[in-house]
Amino acid sequence: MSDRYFQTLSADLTDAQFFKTLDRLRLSYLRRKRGWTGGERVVRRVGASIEFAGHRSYDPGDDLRYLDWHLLARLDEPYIKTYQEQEYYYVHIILDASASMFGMREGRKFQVAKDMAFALSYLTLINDDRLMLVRIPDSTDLPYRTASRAFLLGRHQMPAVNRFMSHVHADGLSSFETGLARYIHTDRRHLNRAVLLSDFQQPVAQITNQLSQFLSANCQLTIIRLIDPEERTFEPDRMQVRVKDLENGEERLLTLDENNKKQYEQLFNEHRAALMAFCTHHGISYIECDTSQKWYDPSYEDALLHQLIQNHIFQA
Amino acid sequence: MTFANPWAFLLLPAIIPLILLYLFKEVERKMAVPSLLFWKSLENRPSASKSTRMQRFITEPLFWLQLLVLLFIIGTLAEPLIQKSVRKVVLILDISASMQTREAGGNRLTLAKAEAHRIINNLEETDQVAIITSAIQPERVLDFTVNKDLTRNKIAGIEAEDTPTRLHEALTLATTMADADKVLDVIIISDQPEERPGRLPDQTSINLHAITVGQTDVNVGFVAFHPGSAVFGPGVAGDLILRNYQSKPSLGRLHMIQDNQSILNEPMELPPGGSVPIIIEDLDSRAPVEIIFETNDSLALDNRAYFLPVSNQNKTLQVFTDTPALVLLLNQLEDFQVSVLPLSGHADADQSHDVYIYDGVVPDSYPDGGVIVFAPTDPGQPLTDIEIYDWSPDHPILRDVVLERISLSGAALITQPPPWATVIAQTQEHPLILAGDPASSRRVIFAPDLIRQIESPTALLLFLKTLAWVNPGTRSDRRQLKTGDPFVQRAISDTGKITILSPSGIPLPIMYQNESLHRSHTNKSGIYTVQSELGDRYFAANLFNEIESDIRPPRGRQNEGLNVDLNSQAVIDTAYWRWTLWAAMGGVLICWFYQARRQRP
Repeated sequence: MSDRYFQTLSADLTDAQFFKTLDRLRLSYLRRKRGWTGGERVVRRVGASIEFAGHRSYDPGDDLRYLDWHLLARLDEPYIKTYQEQEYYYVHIILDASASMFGMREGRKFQVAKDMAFALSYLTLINDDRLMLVRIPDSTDLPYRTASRAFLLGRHQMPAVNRFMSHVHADGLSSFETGLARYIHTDRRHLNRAVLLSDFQQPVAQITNQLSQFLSANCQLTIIRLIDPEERTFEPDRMQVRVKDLENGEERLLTLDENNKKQYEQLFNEHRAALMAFCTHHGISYIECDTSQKWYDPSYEDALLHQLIQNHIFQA
Repeated sequence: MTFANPWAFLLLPAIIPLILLYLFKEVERKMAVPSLLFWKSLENRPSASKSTRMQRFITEPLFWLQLLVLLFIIGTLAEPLIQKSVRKVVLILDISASMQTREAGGNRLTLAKAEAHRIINNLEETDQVAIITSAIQPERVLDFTVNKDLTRNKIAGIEAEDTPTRLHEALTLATTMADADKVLDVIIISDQPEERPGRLPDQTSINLHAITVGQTDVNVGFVAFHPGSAVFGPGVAGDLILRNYQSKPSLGRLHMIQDNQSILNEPMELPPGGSVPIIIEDLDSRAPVEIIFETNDSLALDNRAYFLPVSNQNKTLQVFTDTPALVLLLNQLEDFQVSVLPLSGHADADQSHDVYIYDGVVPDSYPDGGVIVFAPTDPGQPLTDIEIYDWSPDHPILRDVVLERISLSGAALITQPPPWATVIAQTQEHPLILAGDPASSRRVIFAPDLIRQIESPTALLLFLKTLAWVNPGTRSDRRQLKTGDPFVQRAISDTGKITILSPSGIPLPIMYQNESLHRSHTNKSGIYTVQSELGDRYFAANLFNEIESDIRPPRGRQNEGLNVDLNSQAVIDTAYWRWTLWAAMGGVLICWFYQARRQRP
């Protein structure tokens, strides 16, 4: 991978170890791929392709470019040429770019999310799968725009991925309810795999409502929840604290004491448990990523990439 | 705990602004969170800790730190005192001449120092010790201190003097060191019996302890020397008294040295408990004389005597009398130039004579020089009690005089003896003969009318001995002092710059006082040299103190000092403002660190 990609990555991802990890995962993935049967990997159906499949009767409204003029001249019957169509594997990587993703560690959470999205994009493209990079909420000033609905194919599209990563920032309002729903309904046909990277700082009901729409689209969904350790717990120092919402600037005044710490952790764990229960029940792969950990380190047992592989994110 | 400056607590209301500051100041921490999802839920829970104004400083560690710093600063200004109970001990160390008595293991002073060291070693670390040395003058060698090493060094540097002991003065000095309402332990380490110090001042807070050192009582010593003229003739003479304090005879050799030459060396035996007069006459030279009685005793100091032989030539005598017989007698004295004035002119003494005789009147002010007063008529009442009851046979005036042969008819009644006088002969109720030597001028007052019976051999002998005693030499040469006496040199303008050398040849410091040369530290016996433009002159200093020579430590009480029970519990105030100041500074530092850590991202 060229050095020009480094600029979008975290400083600690530019070492050789990271790319060694990616390559190793790639080899592992290819080995797994070679073991599959073709029927498992590619779905054949009639469509636009270079391999001829046969003829069918012309129906009004068919594209005249596929009309077999030779048969029309010979038989004076219109027939349409049909070709064997190869269906690609469509992977949607959806990155939550709301302001809450800036996190409590000076943007570390969003950087980790971008690194992971970058790695997943790389693995997708080198596997000759089709990649859709999506930023929620959507933005029109990106060089690679989600609105174009243009799937990326082939590793030569990595510069486009890089441009996307370099221009995306955590600065918007969370729009799971609107942006995500609109995106799902736009192209349900190619929504067969999706990876959603977010901190899920919304009520569980809102989250499950949106995730249910993925499920109704027959999408195999994986969610990666990024958590700063400071969100999970805090050190009580009996100080009063004025907490400010990163997204809307709303403030609340509370006391950081032992009692409030316990109750806060209880609330957090309840939210997490509810989300995990929903995912488990609906076959959604739920992966948590602590932003203080080196998620790509192969020695880390719960390393995220391993979990991705184990959860068959790239399998048909 | 008490406070030296409790007014500082008036600053306590300064706490109020601090509380107000926290009540109205935004002191909370600001924290940006991804979402208020959980915080809102927490806020709505009834069991959550609420944020109130009171909690702004109740739950704020920095508030308590700053409050603590403020209290420590006020405490520092209030100067806290913590009362500690410690013992205060005054060691009175006898350094008089008798402490030089040889004992087994050194002299008595060495034993006294060992006792002092033992006492110091048994004291607690916080106990305070002061040291007073007692000789003829008490001296505060060391003020109260807890520094035991310093105390030991001071004790090691103490040396004995050749002067008599005045423990009472040392005790009086010690009592001045006791604080009001505080108990003081005073330990006297001396060779004297403990009843000797005399009555203590009214100081109930003194616990007095006595440690007696020494056992030896074998001693022979000179006790008196009376230099003077020969009774008859121009020779140089003197009377020296040597006493044997033992209950057995003492054998020895008497050496007399003048100009580094032995002029006498002969054996002598002293009877047990008796005195032997040694008459010195007709010395050719006026150089200082050293007399040594060599014998085997324990206090060698008093076996030596020093004196300066003088002659009677060219002396002047002024007499105030209306009695022709006295004038006739005086004119027969070849060594005196006599000037006679009537009795009515006794107030006109010209202050330049060696001897003055007042016949029947007491002068209003005594002139410098020897003075003899016969039968003062003031207040004019005759003495009715005319039987001699007691007298001092060892006094030079009365020695070898059969006093009973003196007629007391017409003797004057002396009702108020002058303070300088010592009664050397008396009836049962009234003094007969008074003698004294205030300011180195010898004076004698006779109640009997000696002049009226001057033709009697006894009266004549008594008169001549008195004349020889009051004028032992020329006025400027009369320098026979006892150790500890002040040396006074008159007429400084005549002598110019003066240097005084000690017996060991060391120049001594000189103190001028009332136009006189005052040298008060004649604490070593021997010949002192006075160097001036008029040439070298000398004076002698001798111990000559029977009490000092005959100090006998009580036997069987030598170990009493081992069990000195120090029970003084003086309460002293220890200032602790430095600690509170350090605490305040430490609090400021902690505040600073705490604040810096809190502001760190």
